[in-house]
Amino acid sequence: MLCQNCHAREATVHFTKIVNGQATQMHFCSECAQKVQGFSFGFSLHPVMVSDFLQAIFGVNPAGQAGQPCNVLQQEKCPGCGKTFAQIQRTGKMGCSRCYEKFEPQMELLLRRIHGGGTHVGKTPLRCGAAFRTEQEKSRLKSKLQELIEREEFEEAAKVRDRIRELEKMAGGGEV
Amino acid sequence: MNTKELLSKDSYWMKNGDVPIVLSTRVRLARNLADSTFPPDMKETEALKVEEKIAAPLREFDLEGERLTYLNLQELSAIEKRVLIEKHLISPAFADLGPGRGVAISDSHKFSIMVNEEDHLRIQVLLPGSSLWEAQKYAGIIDDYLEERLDIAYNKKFGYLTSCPTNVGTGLRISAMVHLPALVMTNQAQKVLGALPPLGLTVRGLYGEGSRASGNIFQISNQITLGKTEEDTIAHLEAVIRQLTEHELKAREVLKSDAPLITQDKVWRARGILEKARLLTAEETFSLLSEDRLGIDMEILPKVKADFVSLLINSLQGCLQYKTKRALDGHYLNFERANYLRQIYASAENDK
Repeated sequence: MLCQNCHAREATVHFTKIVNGQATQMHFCSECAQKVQGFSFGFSLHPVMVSDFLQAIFGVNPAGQAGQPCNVLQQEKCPGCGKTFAQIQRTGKMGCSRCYEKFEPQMELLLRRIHGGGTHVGKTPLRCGAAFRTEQEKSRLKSKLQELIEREEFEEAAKVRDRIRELEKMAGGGEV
Repeated sequence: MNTKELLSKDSYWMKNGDVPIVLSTRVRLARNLADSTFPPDMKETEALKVEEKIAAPLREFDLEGERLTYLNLQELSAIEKRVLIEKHLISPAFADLGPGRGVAISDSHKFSIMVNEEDHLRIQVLLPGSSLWEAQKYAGIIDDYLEERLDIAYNKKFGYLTSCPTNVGTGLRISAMVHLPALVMTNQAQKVLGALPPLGLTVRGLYGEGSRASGNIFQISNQITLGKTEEDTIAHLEAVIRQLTEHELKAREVLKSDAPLITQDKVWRARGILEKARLLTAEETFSLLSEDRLGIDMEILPKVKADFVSLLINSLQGCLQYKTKRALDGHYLNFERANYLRQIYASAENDK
């Protein structure tokens, strides 16, 4: 197989990108792989690669397909950095943190394509307050409880259930 | 610590000792300031402002007696940058960026924090062996410290906001560097590693400069950062790494039982060349060191006094140039590389 970049040398480096079960194969020779991936032990993905993939993913949703909302969005600018969604689509990069808010519906769709999930369940900054953290911990435990019940691991499930009750008591809800 | 002292030393993560297969672990957190443009779109004045805002608390940081040294990218030479890349302390893309960039590196190189790479902050923890949980703990401490001092971009729905949507959520990328020579020799590596992408994991090889051979070393990392907790992400990768280790050990058993002579011949040849060669390319060096290490792991070869990963990294061009203090290429580079390795291996010979 020939390298898809230079079309001259034999491809020896093969990448597979999986997005929602959709596999994209990339084949490069070692020289081109270094170019796209950076120098030898590239720990972080070279941005060129990532944006290439992103453009492909963004491209799945062409302006025409979604009708007018997308066209409107092409004009609208992020109040933080002034980027339009079209510009984000082109570069595969957000301009600032406010872009996420401004283009939330589009981002939600895109992030589901990239990650499979659409909502953050991990770490919460301390400043978000105890109530929010508890709320998040509770929703995390609830999905774990569901999982455990499905797997019929009832002993472990009982522990998780007790922990949820504890959190609810602490929150002062008391509705068990 | 001054730049020279910091760059000359071996990184802590390169000292993996006798631990076979899982050579090192990395945890990286992507974080951004809430009120600034992301680095790819930043103007120079803003980049400089953000850099100073972040560098100030970094200079004050201290964890378990380790302090950070802040290096401004503009003040580093091309060779110094190359050493930092080879030691995984900065990314290759980072080295080419303009003013307003820098990296804070801890005394042992366990922690490195890039400022204004693709995100305002890239917090990285590097440890030898399989230490994902420990690395995550350290990354969390640094993250909490910075969060108390800076306004970090976070959104309840999307989590930590990043320049590239592939990092949003936890902003967490964890990876393990694994050495799988027996799986490669028995032609099973492709099959085994091919099973990982459907699990949301990325497999990448490691290439020595301009070389095809990777020393049978692979980097396995998570792809998904949104909708999955940090704990689940780590547990997932850890389970996969355990499985990979078992496969590799099984393949080594097969080599031992089905092809003992061929294996012995292969690893002894590698040792012989490392002891005697006068010119070595990076590509050849990586496969020789890999085979040599396999021989040590399988108790065919006597141990060497240097760590495997340290030998790999120190035989790369930047590290060799930095040590010999001159620009090297072609034959001179291959000559210096062979010299470096011969010194190490000649002393191994004397120890027998």
